[in-house]
Amino acid sequence: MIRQDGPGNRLDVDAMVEAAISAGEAAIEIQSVDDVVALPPRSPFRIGIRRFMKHRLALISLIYLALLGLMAVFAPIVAPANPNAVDLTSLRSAPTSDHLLGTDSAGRDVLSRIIFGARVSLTVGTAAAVSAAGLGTLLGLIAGFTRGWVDTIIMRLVDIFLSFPSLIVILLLVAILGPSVTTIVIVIAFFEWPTACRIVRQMTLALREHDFVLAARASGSSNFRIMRRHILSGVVSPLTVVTTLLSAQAILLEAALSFLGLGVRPPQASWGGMLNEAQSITVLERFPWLWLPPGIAIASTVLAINFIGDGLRDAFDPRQTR
Amino acid sequence: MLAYLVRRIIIAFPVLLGILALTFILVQMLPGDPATVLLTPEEMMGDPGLIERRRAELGLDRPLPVQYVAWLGELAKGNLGTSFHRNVPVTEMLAPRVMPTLILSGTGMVIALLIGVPVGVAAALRQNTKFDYASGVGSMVAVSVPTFFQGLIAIYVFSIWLGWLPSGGMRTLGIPASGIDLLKHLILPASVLSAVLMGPYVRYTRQSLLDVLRLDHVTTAKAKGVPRWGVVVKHALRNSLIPLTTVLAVQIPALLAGTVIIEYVFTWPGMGRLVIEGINSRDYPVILAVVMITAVLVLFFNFIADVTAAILDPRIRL
Repeated sequence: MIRQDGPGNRLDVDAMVEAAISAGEAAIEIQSVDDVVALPPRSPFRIGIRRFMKHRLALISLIYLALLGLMAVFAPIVAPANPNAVDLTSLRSAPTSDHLLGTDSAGRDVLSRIIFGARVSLTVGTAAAVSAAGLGTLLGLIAGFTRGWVDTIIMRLVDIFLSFPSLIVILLLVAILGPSVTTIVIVIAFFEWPTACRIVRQMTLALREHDFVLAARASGSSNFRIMRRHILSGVVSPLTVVTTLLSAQAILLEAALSFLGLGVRPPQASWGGMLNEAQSITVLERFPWLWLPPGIAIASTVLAINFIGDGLRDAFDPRQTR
Repeated sequence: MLAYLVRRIIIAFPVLLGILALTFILVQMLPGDPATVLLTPEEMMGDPGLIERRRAELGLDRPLPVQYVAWLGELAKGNLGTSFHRNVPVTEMLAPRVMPTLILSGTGMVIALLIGVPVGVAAALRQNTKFDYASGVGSMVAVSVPTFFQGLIAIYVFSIWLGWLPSGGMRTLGIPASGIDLLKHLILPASVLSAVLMGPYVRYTRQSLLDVLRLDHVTTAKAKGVPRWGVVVKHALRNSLIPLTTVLAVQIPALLAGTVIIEYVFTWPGMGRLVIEGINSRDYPVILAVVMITAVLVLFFNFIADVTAAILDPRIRL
């Protein structure tokens, strides 16, 4: 075959290659009659989305999380009171019609603090997970694509970082750098990237051996274009799963930091920080409304995210057997 | 096998050096100048050259790579540094804390294995039944509820409400130490710790057994008329537990993180509590020592897990 140089030609080959991949993968992905009868699937990603919708727990979790997100964004409108307004006449008062979840040791409305606390958890969860996944993807792509000594160095770095008990190192770094949402996000991202890196590298190694990468190379695509157009698109599905699970991890880490008094600084409301008060047996025993609601808030949010991650994994990975 | 061992060691060695280098970088990040830590203000005021001499004495004027090598030499001699807070060697503070942590994390791991593996096996054998879904959702809940919240609930229910078990500590003051007393104090923290680990054990056991049950030799065994339990126990279970050795090793950082929080909630006098105390009193050398020890332990257990897997499954050696 005579190779013709020229932008038109290259685009054609690329388009053909794309078509071949999606056709090929769609053929593999089609598993039930439903998939065939419904609209012709356009991409594995689409098929994955459709399969995800059938996962009931994951779907309920997604709705729950969306509502939570809306509540966090519109917290000033939704919250019945100012989360930092101190009412010295009702300290630790039990739930009443005025304060649906009671008040804390400074007379602040617990429900309002929970609504505002959602902002911290969701911000940390999203920002830390996206940064960690971004860093991991970048290093994973480089490692899998260049191979050789660069790969060796990056993979040894992964081993090194995975050996550290992240909670303790993060505690230490936050103690040194001073607690704030930004510090927490950066430190979590810095110690949680290796999972994403490993998976992206694995996928890259597998994908780069495919004929379509060879075809793209033959038609003159640059390394950068191959990485962006052919490899990254193949990595998207597993990466979505990893990022989801990482955000659950990040929310738990932030909650633990705040519980230990090293998270978001008071008076800003955060769920883990609200539980900090329950360290005294008196509070634990006599004022359950101070610690049960924020604990349930953390648990249900993390559970919802994990269910979504689970649903995504089932949706994108046909080998899984659930 | 020997070639495999050598290859594993060649991989593990740079990782060990990397762990130590990263720890050294963290040491450098610490606030406070070690040269002035042990001096009184009067001494410093009286002699302006003292700090400089002190730095030279401690070797702090040398280039960083030289300091790194010197620091490695001290480590090799078992010197983990001196506590800022109490001015005693870190090793002295660590020594009494090791045993309680080992008891707690060991018990937690055993409980998690004793419950997690059978549940995982049962879930795989009853795939897509109510039991399977319930165990899946259950293990998801166990990893989603924050460890400290599980601890608080356990204390609330079993210590405050029912009054069955003590809420913290390792022994009752005023009565002679006994095994039964220790056990009473151990049940709650160890159970909460096992909940953290159990979820992954259930998941991996189930997935791994399902994978093995689909292999040809299992089909052959079934076709030959081997009874169902024989197929599972003799032909499938043993193979499916190989990946679990890796899972055990991979879970160790999670185990340690769980231990830190649980020791804090249950006032258990172990290394995890020492870390939190160290953070509250800004006693960084103590924390660093724990971080480094655990990282090295993780590396070591990963190595053991790889070697065990290679012994059990000859294909891995290739």
